[in-house]
Amino acid sequence: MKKTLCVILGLLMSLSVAACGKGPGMTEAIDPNRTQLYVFNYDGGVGTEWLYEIKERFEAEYKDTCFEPGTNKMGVQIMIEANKLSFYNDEKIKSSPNEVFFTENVGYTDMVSQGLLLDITDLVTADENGVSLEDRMTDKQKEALIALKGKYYALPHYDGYRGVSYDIDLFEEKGLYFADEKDNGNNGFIISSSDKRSAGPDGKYDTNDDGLPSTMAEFFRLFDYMLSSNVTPFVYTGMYPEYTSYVVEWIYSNYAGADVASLDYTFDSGDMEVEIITGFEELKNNMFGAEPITEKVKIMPENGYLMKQQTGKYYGLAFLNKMVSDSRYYYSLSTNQTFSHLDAQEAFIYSKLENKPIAMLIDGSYWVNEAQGAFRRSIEDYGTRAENRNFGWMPLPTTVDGEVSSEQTGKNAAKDTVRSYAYINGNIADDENKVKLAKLFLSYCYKLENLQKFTEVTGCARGLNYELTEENKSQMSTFALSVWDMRQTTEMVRPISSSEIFMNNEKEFYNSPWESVVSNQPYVNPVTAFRNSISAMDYFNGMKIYKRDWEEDYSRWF
Amino acid sequence: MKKKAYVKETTFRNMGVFFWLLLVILALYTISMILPMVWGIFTSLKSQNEFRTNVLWIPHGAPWDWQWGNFVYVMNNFYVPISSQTQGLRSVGMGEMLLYTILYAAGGAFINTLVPCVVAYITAKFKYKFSSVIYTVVVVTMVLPVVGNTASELQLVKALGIFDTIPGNWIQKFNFLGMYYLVFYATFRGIPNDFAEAAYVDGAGETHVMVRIIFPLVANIFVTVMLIKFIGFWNDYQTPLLFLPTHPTIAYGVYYLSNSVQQEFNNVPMRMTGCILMVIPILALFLIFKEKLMSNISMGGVKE
Amino acid sequence: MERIKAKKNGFGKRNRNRLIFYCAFLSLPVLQFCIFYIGVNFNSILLAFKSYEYETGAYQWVGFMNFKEVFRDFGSVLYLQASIRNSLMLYAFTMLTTFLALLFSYYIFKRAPLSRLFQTMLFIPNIISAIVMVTIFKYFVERAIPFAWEKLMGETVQGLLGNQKTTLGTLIFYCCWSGFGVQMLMYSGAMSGVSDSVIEAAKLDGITPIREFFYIIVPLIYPTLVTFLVVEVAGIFTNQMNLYNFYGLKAEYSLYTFGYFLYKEIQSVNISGYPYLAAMGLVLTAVAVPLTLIVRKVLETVGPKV
Repeated sequence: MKKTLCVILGLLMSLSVAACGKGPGMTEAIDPNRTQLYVFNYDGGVGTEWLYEIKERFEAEYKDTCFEPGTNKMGVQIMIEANKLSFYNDEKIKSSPNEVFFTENVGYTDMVSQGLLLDITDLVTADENGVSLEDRMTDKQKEALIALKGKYYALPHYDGYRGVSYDIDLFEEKGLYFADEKDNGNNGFIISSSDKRSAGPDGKYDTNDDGLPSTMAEFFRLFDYMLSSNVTPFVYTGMYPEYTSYVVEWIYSNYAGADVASLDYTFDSGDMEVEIITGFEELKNNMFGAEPITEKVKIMPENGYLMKQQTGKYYGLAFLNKMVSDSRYYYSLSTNQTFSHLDAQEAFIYSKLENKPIAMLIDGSYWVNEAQGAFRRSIEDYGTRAENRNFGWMPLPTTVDGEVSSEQTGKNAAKDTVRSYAYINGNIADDENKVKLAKLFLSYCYKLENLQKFTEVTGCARGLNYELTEENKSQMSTFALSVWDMRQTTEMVRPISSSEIFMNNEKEFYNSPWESVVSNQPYVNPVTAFRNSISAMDYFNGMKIYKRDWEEDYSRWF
Repeated sequence: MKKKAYVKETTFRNMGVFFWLLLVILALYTISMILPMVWGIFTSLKSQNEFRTNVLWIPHGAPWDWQWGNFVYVMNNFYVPISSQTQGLRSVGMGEMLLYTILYAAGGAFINTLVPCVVAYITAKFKYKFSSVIYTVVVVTMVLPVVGNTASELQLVKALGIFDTIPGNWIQKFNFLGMYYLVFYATFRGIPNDFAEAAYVDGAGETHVMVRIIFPLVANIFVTVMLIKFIGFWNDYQTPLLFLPTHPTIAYGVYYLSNSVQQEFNNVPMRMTGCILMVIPILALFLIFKEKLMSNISMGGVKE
Repeated sequence: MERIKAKKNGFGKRNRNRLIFYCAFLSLPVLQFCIFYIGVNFNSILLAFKSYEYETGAYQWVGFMNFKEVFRDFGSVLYLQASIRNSLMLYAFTMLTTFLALLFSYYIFKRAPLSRLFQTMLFIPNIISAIVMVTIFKYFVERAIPFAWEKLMGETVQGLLGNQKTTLGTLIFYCCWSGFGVQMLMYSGAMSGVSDSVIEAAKLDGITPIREFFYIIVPLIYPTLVTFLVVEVAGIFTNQMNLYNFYGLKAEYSLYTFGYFLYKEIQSVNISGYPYLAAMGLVLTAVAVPLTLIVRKVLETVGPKV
């Protein structure tokens, strides 16, 4: 009996060996007649398709150039390692064969300080038709990238927005839009699809966001309206609870504005004043149960701890708290620890087809790249019904309730939670030919035409300022276009700064910005506390940093 | 070594409440171990769509209609891409991974068992001051967390020219640290000196006594420790990831598969398929060597 | 007279031979240790007394500053306190595991019904890779159990890991549940080394199984038991409670153990964070090593003499 079992298992084992063969991954042998350039690309997020596309053109363009004088080698061979697992963003790059990197989650200051990256200042400042890459950066980007050594060591890779996407087809079908006429007898929602829709968050008619909620109050009215139409408002991953914090982050930066939000990393507001909360007045009829009492202060390194007490941070938390307080608002598996972001994408895609629709997904703007497989399968299962789906990027509110002030209309700010950069491995510094080639390739990837192509292929933008041509746009999906539109009115707040406090403690300010302690229990993610029935107010108060602790930790850099 | 002794079999008839109680606990344990496995196997044979509606039960339809394709799919996609300046870009499939795994795990297990065994023997039987130093060193290194040494470790193995080579990794494993040093130490302490003394009187040298007289007494525990280490290395993905980047092992392949951001693998049935598939070879190996592993080990005392 | 002299010479020669043998066989392992452990890690110990300067990209000596921070944090930082609490709780449960493992081994040693099957089952978690084991377990308790509960009781519940009231308990359960294998193997091995005549003699006295277990078996395998008890004391400071396998680097603070805290921090802090961790490591070692050695000494002294 046991012997038979062993034989069977042994057979299975040898079968598994026999079945191996070559995997379907990209394989490429070294061509001895060409010079190789090894490129690493993190294969999540924007994927690698864009890089294969560039590789082809770059190799063709330089097929007659010799990159190793004194040898017979002609042309170049780009060797792409598309890694689905590791970011390769630390000292391990020293032993990596790769020379150019496109990766995420980069602690820039750390890597520069350790001398892991190659100086690429010449490449960044070089002119292309009168515009250099440096010109395409914002002042904040420039200042921060050169803060430590006065030189550039990396280029921003892509702008990964993390927030909310919505199913346009579902919104249209169910009429989940606000009407322009507030007292139309349907609680302010359109009755037929031809009804005139409200101007939306940007305050302009005939734009993509017409009829979408523009205040937090409207958002929750929309949720309740969805419930009455048998639509589940949200789905998000339960495996990575930090995804929900991205909503908090976005509401906060939207409320505070980009200039204030970046003080989280720079701690120097100059003459600008920041609104902080000094206490709460509990009100029954308030949407969030409590009305903050506020005052305005100037932020400098000595009182950087006050940033934790900003009004915007409270509203971000209050918004999320209300969002997860009612279990009908979200898909049931969203609290399940085995429910990954990819599962959430799939549930979102399938929900409408299975007639248990979910309206919105919390995820990065690159999720459609990650969900290629799920889209393909949904078409296999549901045929034409599943083809040509339309999704959009949902603008998040800047205001709590009432009218949106003209100052805040159409102005958004988003935190960069992806931190993706492109850089060259410092370990090739002594190889003059290699350095030349690596720089040539990197600057090729960042030529205007290729910046545009990148957006066209991935639907995501490089972290630089540039425009798209009409031709580019015609190739992009509804979703990609709506992300691009959002980008026009959104300023990116990057966790990068020339502040000494920040540079010396980079990860502390980046890793868990929403830590709190409530009733002696420490939390990393607000959503965990909210599911324990902790109020946004208590959570907010628990985030407070005391002056004494701040000084003990950071006074040496004041 | 004496054959397994005559500890009388305890049967249903002659066992008392104490054994009945243990039987119940162990039976519950067995069920708790089997249930998740069976559930995992069932789940691995469902499609993602079926799993949405049929979470618990056996897959619908006749066995030949089940989603055996999941296994084929995972096997076909079970690979690790590697990039190196000497080999170019290639995919390492399961066969090659298996070869590296065996070299890495078997070689490493032998060396990493032999060295603690020899050092434990010497320090247990030779009462020099230095012996207790070694004992303390082992205890210290077991609890002392090492911080930020990756860079210097990589630098060292590169400087020695043993980076990314399997024999080089064996050299890294040529150490006596860890719990099994303590296990061997306790074992050797428990062996009475009479054995060796008799040999010394006959004029045997130290090496002879160690290799010919004492080691055979601990042969079984040696094999057991080696197998435990083998299993440990078989399942270790972090060392290969860091020190053997172009020699991925099966465990690294599993890690890559289960943590990669590839959508195809990211539904419950596929994940279970991956898991079950990885369990099969090691389970087969275990059942083959089970007798060796499970019977007749003795430690802390040697039968007279 | 003559004989005594000869014996002395013989002893001298033997002692010298012993010393040569000792040095010869220890030299290579010790050399390896010096290069691969001390050589690599010595610097990381020195880090405890240094601080990283970003501008120069170098470390500066700062004396005991990092230690001061560590001591301050032990008093005030809540996740460190959670780590202390969880590590001790886990330790209490590993002791329970040890006790159960002893009982199970005894059952197997006595060749009671189904003992071969149980032996295999107890060892299965040790042969299956931890990631795979954790994955199956996780999906089972998060997907299958809530679903089954809903079917049986008609009430929707969260998974055992998702429900914050049961998370810690489930993780500890997993540690115990999957942690019998090696101990069971070693104990039943040690038991099979117990002299048959002792057991026979006891049997003739009409001893009950419980008494036999406590008064004969446990004392006879005591050295083995001590080894594991000592290893478990060290485990207070290193056991990760499988948190990395369950959550990667993102476990909730309330679940932290020392082992996980240090592992996670080492993986995720930037270079300027190393000195603090090195200092904390030294502090923990300064507590753990004497504690371990004392426990061993005490267990050896109070234990039964065979």
